[in-house]
This record gives sequence, C-alpha cells and structure tokens, in this order.
Amino acid sequence: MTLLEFARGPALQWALIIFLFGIFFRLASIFVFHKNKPLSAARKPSFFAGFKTIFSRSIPHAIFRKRIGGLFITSTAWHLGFLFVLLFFGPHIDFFKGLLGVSWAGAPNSVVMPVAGFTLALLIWALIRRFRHPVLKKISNMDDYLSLIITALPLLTGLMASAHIEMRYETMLAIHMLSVSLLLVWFPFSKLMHVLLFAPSRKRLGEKLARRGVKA
Amino acid sequence: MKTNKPISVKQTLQNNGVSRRSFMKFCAATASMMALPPGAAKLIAAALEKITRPSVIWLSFQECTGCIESLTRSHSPSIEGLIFDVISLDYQHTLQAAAGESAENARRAAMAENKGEYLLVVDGSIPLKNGGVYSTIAGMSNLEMLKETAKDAAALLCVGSCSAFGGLPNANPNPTGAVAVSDIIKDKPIINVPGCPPIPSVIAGVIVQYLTFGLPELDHLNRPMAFYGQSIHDRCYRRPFYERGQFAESFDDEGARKGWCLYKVGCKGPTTYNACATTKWNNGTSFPIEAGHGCIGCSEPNFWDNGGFYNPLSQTPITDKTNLGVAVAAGVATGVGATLLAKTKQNKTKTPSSNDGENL
Repeated sequence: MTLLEFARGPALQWALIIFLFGIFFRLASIFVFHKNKPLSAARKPSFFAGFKTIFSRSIPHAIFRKRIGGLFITSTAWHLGFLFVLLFFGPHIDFFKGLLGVSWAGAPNSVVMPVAGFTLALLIWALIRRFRHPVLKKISNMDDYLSLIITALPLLTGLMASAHIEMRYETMLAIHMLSVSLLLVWFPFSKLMHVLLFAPSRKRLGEKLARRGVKA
Repeated sequence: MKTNKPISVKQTLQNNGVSRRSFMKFCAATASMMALPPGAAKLIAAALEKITRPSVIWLSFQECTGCIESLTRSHSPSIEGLIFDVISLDYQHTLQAAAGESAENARRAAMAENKGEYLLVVDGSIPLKNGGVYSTIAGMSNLEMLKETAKDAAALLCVGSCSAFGGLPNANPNPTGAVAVSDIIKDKPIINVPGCPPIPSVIAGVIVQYLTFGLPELDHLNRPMAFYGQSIHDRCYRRPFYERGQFAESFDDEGARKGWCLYKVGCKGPTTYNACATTKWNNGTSFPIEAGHGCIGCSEPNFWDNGGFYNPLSQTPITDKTNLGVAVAAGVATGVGATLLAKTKQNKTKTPSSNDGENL
C-alpha cells in the first residue's frame, strides 16, 4: 500500500469515524446536560433574544471597536478564507461529491490560490502573535497553539501539492490528506469545536441574559 | 540466433541494409528522449557501433503479448525496429521461429555462451499460487524459468507493468498469486519499464541507454529517470486549464469539447510518471489525454485497483459509508449515556441547600 492509498483510504476513513463520533458525542452530551428547566419567571421573552445574540456578538461592541477592530477583521478574514478554499476549490468539491453525493460550482484557481496563500499568512501571523503577545501568551494553552498549527497544515500542504512544490505530487497529496485527517481527529476534542458550538452557546447566553433583563 | 563469431552492430546494420542516416536518426531520437544535448547522438552512435551485438533473452510469462506488440507493431517501418539490429534476440516466444525443445535449447545455449553478460528482458507477472501451475513453459513454471535464467544475467529489464509491478494479473483478487520480478529476484540489477503497454520508443530507448551508458539512473520504483522522471501532468498540454481551474465535468460537456483539464473525470496524470505527454504514441501522433480520455496511470503500481479510472484523485475511495453512520449513532449513544450517568451522580450528591436554579 502506497502512502497515498493509505492517506486516501484507511487513514481518512478512521479520521472521519473519529470526527463524527467525537462531534456527536460532544453535542449529545452538551445538549442533554444543559437541559435544566429554569425555575424563575422570565423578565423578558428570551427566545428571539437568543437568536439576536448569535449575530450581535459577531461584531465587536462599539466600545472595543477601535481597539480590536483590526484583529476582528483579520480573524474574520482567515475564517472566511479557510471556508472559501475548503468549499470552492475544484478538487475539494470532487472530494465532497464522492463523500456526500452533492457538488456545486467552484472558483478558478487564480482566485482560490491567492486566497489560500493570504489565509495561511494570516494564520501564521495569528500564531506568532499568540507566541509574542504578553497577555495572550499567559492565557494560551497547548490547545490554542496546536489548534492553530493543525488548522494551518492543510492549507500549507494543499498549496504545496497544487503548486507542485518540493515533493512529488502524489507524496504531497498524501501528506495533505494526512494533515486533513489530523485536523478531523483533533477537531471534536479541541477548541476547534467552537465552529459548531459558537451559535448554540451564544443563543443560550442571549436567552439567559434576556430572562434576567440584560441586553446582550 | 546466436552465432559463434561476434558481429559488431555496425556490421549488422550494414548487412541489413540500414542506412547511416536511419541509424543516426535512431540515435538522435534516443538522445532526445533522454533529454541529452544534440551532440550525444554521436556518442550513442559511436558506442553502439563499437559493441558487438549483446545477447538478449526475452521471457514472456503471465502477459497478453501487448508489450512485444507495442514494440514491433507500433508503426511500420519503425525507428524502434532498429533495436532488433542492435541486439541479438536469442529467445522470444512471439518472434522466434524455433519451437518446443529447440527453442529451450536456444535459450540454454545463449545463457551458456554469454554467461554473466546477457540482458534478461521479462514481460508478464509470475504466478506463485498452487505451485505456479497457472503459467508454464516447456513444463517449467514461470518461477523456475525466471530463477534459472536470471542466475547468470548481467541485468534484468522488466518490460510492462505486469513484470514491473504485477500489473493486471496482480489486481484484486489476484487469483493466480501473481507477483512482480522484483518480488523474486533480489541479487541482480533490475530496470523497470512499466506501462500497459510501455511506449515502444521508451523500451528501445532504455535498451540503448543501458548498452551505451550502462545502468541508468533509476527512481524509487526502479524506473529510468530519463523517461519516468516527470509526471504526465507536468508535461501535459492541458496543464494551463488545470492552473486556471477549468475542468471537463463529463466527457460530452462544453469543457470536454474545449479541451479543458480532465482531472475531474478521473485523469491520473498528476500521479503518473511516464513519457506519454512528450514522446506520445503512434509515431508521435497523440496520447490518451490528447484523444480526450484521462490518463489511467498504467505505469504506476496497482493502477487497476487504485480508486477507479473515472474517479478524481481528490475523491476518497471510501464507498461503504455504513461505519460513518455507526460512528454517528455511537457518538450520540455514548454522549447521552455518559451525560445521564453524570446527571444521576450529580442528583445523588445534591444537598437540599443546593441551588436548583440555572447557573450562568
């Protein structure tokens, strides 16, 4: 079995199994555990306030806008860049088509490649910043560093595979797929779960604050 | 057949009426294929003229004869055909006039007369299951004949993917237990010239390279770098479409008609190393991608079982998704179970003074 066969076959299959098991394990446990019924009467209706918080917390509060505006823009940019490369690069669409049976229109490589390069540069900058910023350094743990590195690896290896840099294409493609497998395995058990949890957690927070009459 | 008096290549060519011009064209074409400078053609010609015709024994095992057909019948008259004037082909089932015991005697005579010097060419895989009964020649299993003939060979040239990697007979479920030559012979230099079949000029080119410069530089799969050093994708004329993200989505869509990249319809060009895109087939007419079909990766190991000819490389070969569904169900069950267990434990440890309300 070649490295590419291993990466495309058993490695990816096991990574997907761990990914799905981990995600549904965590989601099920979170949603079942937090099903406590509030006993006090609500001061304000909370259902829609929860949904509102999902969006209202997506942009920095006016007081902090000047201070963290740049950081907010760069963070949003790499999140969107990553999503764009994941969903609109032609070979990725083929991957999803093979796995899920659905496909959609892709973007030209002349757009995807610069976006991927820019996203990678921002991720590296975010990692360096986390290492160097005195406050950020104090509140960061291994999960933060590894999550950034493991997120950046598929971008780096994918760019190298597409641009035919360094190694033979099949080796680079195998390494790229292995880096994706690593990301899939790491995802459910790390802070990367925020991708799935940010919306429900904001909604719940918004609901709770609304019940107490606090604007969120 | 083998003669007692060694005849030089130059003399043989003259005897066969091959003009100096044709011979130089052959040498120039070979030098060009090996990416050597134009002056190298003269060096190749000088080297080939000096040598006496080396003995070549060609063993055909579990194969379809496509490889020798590729070499002999690609087009006529062929420049590759000149290779038969450069070498003394002492044993080859398809081409030799002798049959039965006299053919086997010719092989043994050539082995004895050229001990340690002859080149052994093999096409076809070697079946090992059930004592190798699936392919025998003159009562000998392919395994026995290979071992016997390889023992005194200077080097082995495995022509075609079957002898190089096991090829089609080796494909799942491999009913005959077919293996490659390199799985059996470990103590001789082996040059692999894979392909299904290999390009005729590449077969001839590798033989000339071996006769002129000795053992060529090989890659990790024992393929000559001069011919297998670059991927089909690297030299494909459709590469600019790949770079621009312009792909044919099916074989009859607008992209296919415009000649866009065939990656999405399963082309294995990016992972296949061969000279098809540069040397081409049928006297340099075209190659599969030029004819509108993706590369099937026939010069790579396990090409038959490598995820389907029409599935893109980026697609995973995972077809059975049952275990993914099981993973989801197991995740939910474990999550709910573990949480309910934790909740029961939490309720048991609760004191009357505990805050029953929600916590932020």
